[in-house]
Amino acid sequence: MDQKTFHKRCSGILFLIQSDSQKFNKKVEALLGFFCVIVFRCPLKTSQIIENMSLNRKVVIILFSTLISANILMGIAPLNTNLGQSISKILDPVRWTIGLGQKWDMFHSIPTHHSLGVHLTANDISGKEYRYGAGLPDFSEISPRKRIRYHYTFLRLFNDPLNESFKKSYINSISRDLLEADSNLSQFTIHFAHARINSLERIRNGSGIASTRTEKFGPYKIKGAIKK
Amino acid sequence: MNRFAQLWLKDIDERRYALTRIGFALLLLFQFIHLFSYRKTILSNAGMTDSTAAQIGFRELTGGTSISLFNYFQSPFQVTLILVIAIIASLTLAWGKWARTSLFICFFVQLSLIHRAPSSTTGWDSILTNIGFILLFSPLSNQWNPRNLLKQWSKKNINLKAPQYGLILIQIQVFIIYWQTVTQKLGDQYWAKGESITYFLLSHHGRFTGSWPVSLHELLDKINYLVLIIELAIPVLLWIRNTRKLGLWIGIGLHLSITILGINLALFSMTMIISYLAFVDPWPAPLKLKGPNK
Repeated sequence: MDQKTFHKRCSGILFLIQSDSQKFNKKVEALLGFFCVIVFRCPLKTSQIIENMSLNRKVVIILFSTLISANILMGIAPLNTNLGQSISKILDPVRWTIGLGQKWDMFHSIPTHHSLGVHLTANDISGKEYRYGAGLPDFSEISPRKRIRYHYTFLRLFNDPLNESFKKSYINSISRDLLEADSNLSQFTIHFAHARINSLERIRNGSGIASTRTEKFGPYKIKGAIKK
Repeated sequence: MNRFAQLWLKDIDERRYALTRIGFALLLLFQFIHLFSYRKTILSNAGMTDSTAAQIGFRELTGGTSISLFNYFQSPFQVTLILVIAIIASLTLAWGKWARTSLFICFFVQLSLIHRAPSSTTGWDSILTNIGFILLFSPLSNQWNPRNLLKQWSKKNINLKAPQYGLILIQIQVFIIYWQTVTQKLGDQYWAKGESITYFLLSHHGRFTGSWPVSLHELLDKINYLVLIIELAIPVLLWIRNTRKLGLWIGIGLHLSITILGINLALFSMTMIISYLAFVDPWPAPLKLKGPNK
């Protein structure tokens, strides 16, 4: 597919999406279009030796490289410092929108998490309790140890207030799917068991590797998912 | 100024870009296959969260605007289709066919994952978008596919050259990834006390369960500090031509150890090892001989 055909198809797809959904965000469409044009029209990418390069192209390459490297280099300031936080506050909205976020704490994972276990219980109108897995849409049992993204998801949803919107949405989704599964169900509770590693001293003294604390979220009413 | 311009514009063997492109494409292929099993739960509206909440959540977390494809393609079938397209695009990218378009698709799907499910992202997701963004604006050397690259691997000098800025930017990114993590660790009590590796092996990341790391703590305490030194040293060793091989061995050794001793971290290790391709130069330009002093 050449570039012209690709542009035509892109515009076609965008037009279809737009006519299908009234909610299509104009700002997002503009961003996408702008990004498409930059990538496919940008003179940077073609291989060309320096001797044959026009001055304009050299300037564009140097400018692009300087901007991107400045953004990367500003990432050296860790986010737990004042400088890091100030830089992050200004640049993050743009960085994260275009995929240039600079948050490198993956080696610095909090090393005290031992395991997570999440499941649901739901009660019907008579009060009888049923157990469900936490994986939607089919209420499958989830093993956060085997599937790392679930570990991060549940940890952030239930331990980090910044993820409140996602937590609320998860509760709404559970409510929706439980209603579909059994219309007699009236409320549900999320059980979040979090095992943290004991201090090395305590492990040496025989108290086991980790201590588990189970938190309960809910009960939430199924229709409307409003906390009782 | 001339030296600054040279840093970005210096001609290098075009095959270096091809090598990085192929490695990155294979990495994306594994990433999209890995995402396949999560597609319904974290990427579709039938799963844990809906896309409207995700847009609000993404803004609250990052301040940015969510431009995720999954905000518009929401059903499990549509999400599956997008991932299948991304898998095909990563294969065509590796082969060098429609390379720019393929990379754009892969990058955009990867970015869409972060924008749709930021609470489910891992560290390597950001590395992939950063490197992807840089490569989008770099030469991709798409006339080189894995087969003809291997065939002409031993050719010392070819006439096809490209400016080196894309690889330099990836090198700077690798530098910052390692150094920022070390500066973060220096302020962390577990790393400062030499307990971090012991805790890591006891944690949800540990492949071999049990309390055995506690009995090896004296040794692991020393490894804790050694890891900090290694992480500071890797980018420097990779940068300098004479120590590059040593840097590669140490870096690959570190990440293979993480993969063997930890679970769920193979993709992370693979991402870091593939990023080293930006440093690797199998076809170095001959060094210029110094002329006689006049």
